[in-house]
Amino acid sequence: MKSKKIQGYIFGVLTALCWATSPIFIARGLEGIPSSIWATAIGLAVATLFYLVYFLLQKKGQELLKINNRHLLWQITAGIAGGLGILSRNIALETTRVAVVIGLVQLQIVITLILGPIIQAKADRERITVKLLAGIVLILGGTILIIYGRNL
Amino acid sequence: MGILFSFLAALFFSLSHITVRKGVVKLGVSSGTIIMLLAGTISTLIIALIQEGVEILTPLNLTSILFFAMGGVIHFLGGWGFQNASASRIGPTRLSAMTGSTPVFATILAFISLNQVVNIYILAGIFLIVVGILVITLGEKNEE
Repeated sequence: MKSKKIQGYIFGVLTALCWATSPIFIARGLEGIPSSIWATAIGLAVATLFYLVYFLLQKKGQELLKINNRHLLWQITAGIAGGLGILSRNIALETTRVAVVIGLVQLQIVITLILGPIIQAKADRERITVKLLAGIVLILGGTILIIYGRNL
Repeated sequence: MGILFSFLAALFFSLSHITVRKGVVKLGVSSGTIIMLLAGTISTLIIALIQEGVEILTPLNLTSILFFAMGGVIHFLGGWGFQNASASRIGPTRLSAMTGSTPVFATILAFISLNQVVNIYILAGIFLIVVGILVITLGEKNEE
């Protein structure tokens, strides 16, 4: 396998590690300020501030001027969707058990599998293989078992 | 309501994974991440101001804000940065599958920090998720 792909898989798992760690801090913060909406907004604002400083120090600001509007719109959509996603998850966590929310959020894998080919251009479409589908079924099965186990 | 918002979260995360691939491939990870962060910040700040106002933040609880900040840096700076880097290399479906390992890390962290008991179902679930990830990654190697 190409090293670029290996990096892609490692970065994917690191994404999951970050997403599993952050709720611990958010939960502690909610003890003092009981607002999941503000928790999301403050977290995003601070992260943006840190990254903006890094981005400007790297003198990458010029890159933004060369951006194609179509790609910019896709990236803005990704940012808004990501923000609304975490917001919806945090709101769900206020009224529903963590195990149920985590389990239902994992449906994103299936939704991506369905929506991906519809939204992506033909040239960008991923190859859906039997092994990919088998892997997704195993991951979803594992998630259901973890949720069941944590409810015992 | 909780169920509905969980479904909405799944839908939004999925949309984010797909659209990020369409944008970040041409923009690059650095520019893509800063645009995503700015768009996410502006949209959630507007929602927070309309929905809850600033009264809920007073008196200012700096400890809570610090925890929100730390959570935000880990989730958005780390998570979205890695998400962009991953999506540009392997695509949204495989990225979504990799993020399926989130419950494994959540369980390990709960075990370490909260001493939560790990039973046979949880161990079996972790095993299935790890096997699922191996099937996807090693399966690709064999198909190349």
